[in-house]
Amino acid sequence: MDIGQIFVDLAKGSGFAQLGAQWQNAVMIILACFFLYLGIKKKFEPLLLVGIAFGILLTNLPQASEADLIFHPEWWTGDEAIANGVNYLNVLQHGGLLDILYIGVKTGVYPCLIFIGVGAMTDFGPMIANPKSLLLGAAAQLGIFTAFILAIVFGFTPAQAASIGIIGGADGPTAIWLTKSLAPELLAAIAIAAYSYMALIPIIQPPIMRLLTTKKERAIKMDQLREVSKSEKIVFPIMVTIFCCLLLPSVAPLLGCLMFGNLLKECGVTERLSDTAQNALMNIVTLFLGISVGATAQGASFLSFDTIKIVVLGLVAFSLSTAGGLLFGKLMCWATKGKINPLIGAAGVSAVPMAARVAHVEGLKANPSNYLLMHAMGPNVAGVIGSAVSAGILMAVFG
Amino acid sequence: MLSAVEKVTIGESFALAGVSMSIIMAVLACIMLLIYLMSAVFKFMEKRNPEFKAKMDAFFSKKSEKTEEIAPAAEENKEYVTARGSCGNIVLNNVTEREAAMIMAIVADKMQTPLNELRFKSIKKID
Repeated sequence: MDIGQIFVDLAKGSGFAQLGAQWQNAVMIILACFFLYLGIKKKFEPLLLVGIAFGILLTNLPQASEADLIFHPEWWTGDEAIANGVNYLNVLQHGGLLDILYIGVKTGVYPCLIFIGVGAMTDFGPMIANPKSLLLGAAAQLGIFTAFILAIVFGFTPAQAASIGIIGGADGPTAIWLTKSLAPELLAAIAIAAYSYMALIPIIQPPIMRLLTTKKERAIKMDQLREVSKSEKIVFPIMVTIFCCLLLPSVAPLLGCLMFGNLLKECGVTERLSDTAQNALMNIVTLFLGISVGATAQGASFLSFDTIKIVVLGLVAFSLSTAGGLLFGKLMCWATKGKINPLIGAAGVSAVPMAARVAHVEGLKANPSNYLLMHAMGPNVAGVIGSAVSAGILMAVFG
Repeated sequence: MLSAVEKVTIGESFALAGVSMSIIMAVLACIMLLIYLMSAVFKFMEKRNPEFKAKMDAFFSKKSEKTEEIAPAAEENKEYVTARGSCGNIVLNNVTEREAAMIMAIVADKMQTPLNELRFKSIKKID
């Protein structure tokens, strides 16, 4: 027996030796640790970023054999999967843990379940009280389509360009829902970019706000919103679901779930379900979504120039969405003779309630007695509807 | 569903972006009009029948029934206003609902306790 050879074989079979051969995986492990740092220490969307980062870590750690793999990306985005569809029987029989969890992403179940939770946590009252804020939510989708054009210019396919553009909607579940269908190969990069920019709203938005508005505009105090009755709050989700799903059936999964969650909250007779949607369901799905999306970020495919382009285009999309909302806010300010503070337009980029908070804080800086939070919540929740509608349109065209 | 688009020129991408933005604007503008319509209907009904709002709220919400039970007590002492809340009721004495909400938020913050775990019985302005 050659003891030395045994040690050599053990060393060759270890993960460290494999890491040496696959430098991309080593880089991804470092990147995962960096994301964990951002999530834990800097609190950048920690609920999702920690899960995504840990998914990246798990999927890039070398395994002894094919059977030990925790995730098989080729089963989902390989040539055979694209040509013949995913073999779910094979996934269920031989898949790793993350393969099984990824079924929820691939089928679009997780983003929709998250939207039920988001709906259950959202108060559409400020938007119903000031319906004009819906237009701000629509204007703040500008970045999606500008980034789409730029992505086409940069050589992405139309489906990939649509998925990159949706980062501008600042809505993580919507971005994942669209990308899993149109460009699953870019899912990790797009999800990470979308959630990172959502976390960076307090850094990205204020300079754009100050650039596009005057101090006088930022100091505008808005009239107090009217009280919205319970009946209006109950009728609203039902009405929007019927109207939007008849008009654009492709938005039904996202918008339907959002409105269903909201109805659970508002109808007053399903408190237990509303509580579950807001807490237990939301937490469980967030857990599964984060870790399985992270698992798609394997070194060989993730470390490419395309990822850098996606990150840059995502920032452009996000910034232009903010600018679109602000400019439309300025237009409304002019049209109403100074009754609308343009800052609330910037909240039209979804990302509830962070974007509304940023608009509020900027308003406070310009005028310490200016309380814009509730006014900004209108465009903010309108932005959620706007980005869901945008995703529905892109899905209808490129799906 | 439309057929999947394989290739898009830059010119087409501009056109597509313009059309898509217009559709989004139109859809959200329609929702806006629907909300205005809904509000107008509710206002009209309230105008015709002042008890309509209370009836509708009672119909939709179990909580409204509880409020009705409390209502006679509130009527006895009209200077007390009962705040709307998700858990129980609070008596507001010479303070507006907005001020009360602010006070409750400050107390919760100072005590480092979630607001829904605190119980306020009354808030009174001391002159």
